[in-house]
Formats: sequence, structure tokens, C-alpha cells
Amino acid sequence: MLGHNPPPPDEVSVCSREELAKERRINHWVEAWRDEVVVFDRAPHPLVISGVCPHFGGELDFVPQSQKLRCRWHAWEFDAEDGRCLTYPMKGCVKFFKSEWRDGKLVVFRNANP
Amino acid sequence: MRILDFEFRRELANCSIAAGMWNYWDAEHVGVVHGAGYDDDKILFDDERMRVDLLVVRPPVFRFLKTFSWAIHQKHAENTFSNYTTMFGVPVLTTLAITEPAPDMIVSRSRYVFFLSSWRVMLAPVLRWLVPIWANKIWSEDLPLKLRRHRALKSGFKDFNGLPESIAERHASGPLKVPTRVPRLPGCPIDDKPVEYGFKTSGEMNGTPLETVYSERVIKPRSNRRPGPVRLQAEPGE
Repeated sequence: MLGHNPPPPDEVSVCSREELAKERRINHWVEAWRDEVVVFDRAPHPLVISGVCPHFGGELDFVPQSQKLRCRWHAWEFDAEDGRCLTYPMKGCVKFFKSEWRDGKLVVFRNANP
Repeated sequence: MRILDFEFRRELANCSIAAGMWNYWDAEHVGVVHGAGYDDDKILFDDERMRVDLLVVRPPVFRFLKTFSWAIHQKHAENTFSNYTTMFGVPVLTTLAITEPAPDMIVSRSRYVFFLSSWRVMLAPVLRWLVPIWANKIWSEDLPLKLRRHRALKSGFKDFNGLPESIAERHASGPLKVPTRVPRLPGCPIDDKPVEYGFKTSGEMNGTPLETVYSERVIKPRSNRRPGPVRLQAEPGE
């Protein structure tokens, strides 16, 4: 029924330390947020972004060597600190999520977009 | 003349005509996603109904046989188009039709017709073996793009902007649509033409041009090829 849907949760638990250490990258589609939370194993704290490339919706990777984000579809690059596109001047930016470790699980917060 | 005819029919859930057609009209991904088969792709001309490309192709298995190819895409309707190209001097006509028999489900029918003449008739057995391999490879490389693009469009994604800020706006209203002329930003290497040309007209009389000056300039195209998939750096000792 319209108007009776519960509000989307403000936080989600995405993965454990062990899972992230093993996989190095975790993709998690959060249906309630209609967004893809992607976690990269980066020291000292994991990098947590919306994995949807603002160009056409492609899949973003973190390149440790250059410390940049790169889209798998068109190889556009983005700054891993502020999310702006480095390949072309573009309005859309990569969005980041704040996160914290809680009881061995990585908890990601919804309202952390810059 | 010998004609080789291949037809592939594929059903795909969680996809739409818009996402399926976008995949064929987005030339920018060709050199990245299909980097093993295509070295480069330049758009020489495109509008809402037509696109002319210059491709650098590497066929499966015989990758050392790098060759240039023209490709002309002609859109017939929202869900159908033809592609005219050549491979090693063999004219190839491709027709593609995508239907949506149920919401979020498509049926894709692609037909490849090879026109073999002269000595190229000898290529028939090789093509009969190679074309299904090549078609399946391209299909599987494009599959994640179609599915992901569909999900993004259904989530209210706007090209060059991303997902809407508000979760309440993250749904598509009305049928999904994407322009056939896929937008690019200025400076995109895919728009680097090998020859830059222009027509200039000086003066007119009663609406008729008096003189038309044609000029051209050969330019060195930048490559579309980008680095391949990212490998996460292994920890020391792994």
C-alpha cells in the first residue's frame, strides 16, 4: 500500500573482516537504497563507494597502483578522494559512504554522500 | 557467390529493449570491453538513425591478422537495426531485432549473412566454425553491461549524473528510453576522425552558392584502447 512502506534503513552490514580480506572487493546491491555498495580492501580503512559509474552506470574498480577509481566499461577514471571525474569534466561524481567496523562487521551509513 | 547464414536467438531476463539497443549503439566500450577482438573504434559520423565507424579488428584465434573495417549501423525502428561491414574483404550483413515479450525480459535475434565470392569461398568452413565462437564471446562480454545498464535505468539513472540523490526518485517513470546517438563529452577520442574536412561557401546569388571550397586535414587519431581489467595488488607474501 502506498505510504505504508517502512523508511529505508540508515545503515547496512555489508561484510566481515575475513570476507573482505579474502575477496579484496565486495559488491552489495542494497535494494532498500536502490544503490550498489562496493567495498575495497584499502589500508588503513576500507574504501566504500557507490559502485555505479556516473557516466553510464558501469562497474567501478579501485586501482591500488594509481589510487584512482576506474570504470570497467569505458575506462574513465575518478579521484578516489573526492569522486570527481579525471578523464572528462563531468557533473556527476562517484559517491562515497561512511562506514565503521562493528563487532567484526563493516557497517555502511546511508547519509554519508558528500 | 556463396552465402553463409547464421542466426542466434537468445532470451534474457532482467533486461529491456532500451538497455539492449544501447549496448549496440555505445561505441565507446568496444575498445575496452572487447579489447581482445577490437583494437580501436572511431566514429566518423552518427545521428539518431545511422552510425559509420572505422574499426581495427582482431579476429578470434587468428589475432595476428589485424585488419581495418568499416561498419555502418542503420536503425530501422526502436528495436531493430542493420549493420553493414566487411571482414577480410567479405561483406557481412547483420540484422538485429530485440523484442520484449514480457516486462524486464527480452528476446534478441541476430542474423549474420556472409557473402563469399572468388577465393573467399574457401573461407566457408573456417567461418562456419569461427562465427558461433566469436558471436558467443561478444555476447558474454556484453551481457553484464546489458543487465547492469537495465538496473541503472530502472533506478532512475541519468547519464553523466548518476543515480538521483533521493532514494524516493530512484525508479523509472514510463518506458525506458535511451538516445540512439549515444552522447559523448568533448575531447572523447572516439570522435577523432582520421581526416578532418570542411566545406566553405563564399558568396551566393539568388540563394545559389557561387563557390564551394573543400578543405581537409589528416590528423593522427588517439587510441581508444585503455588498460584492461584491474587486478588488486597482492599483499607481500601472497
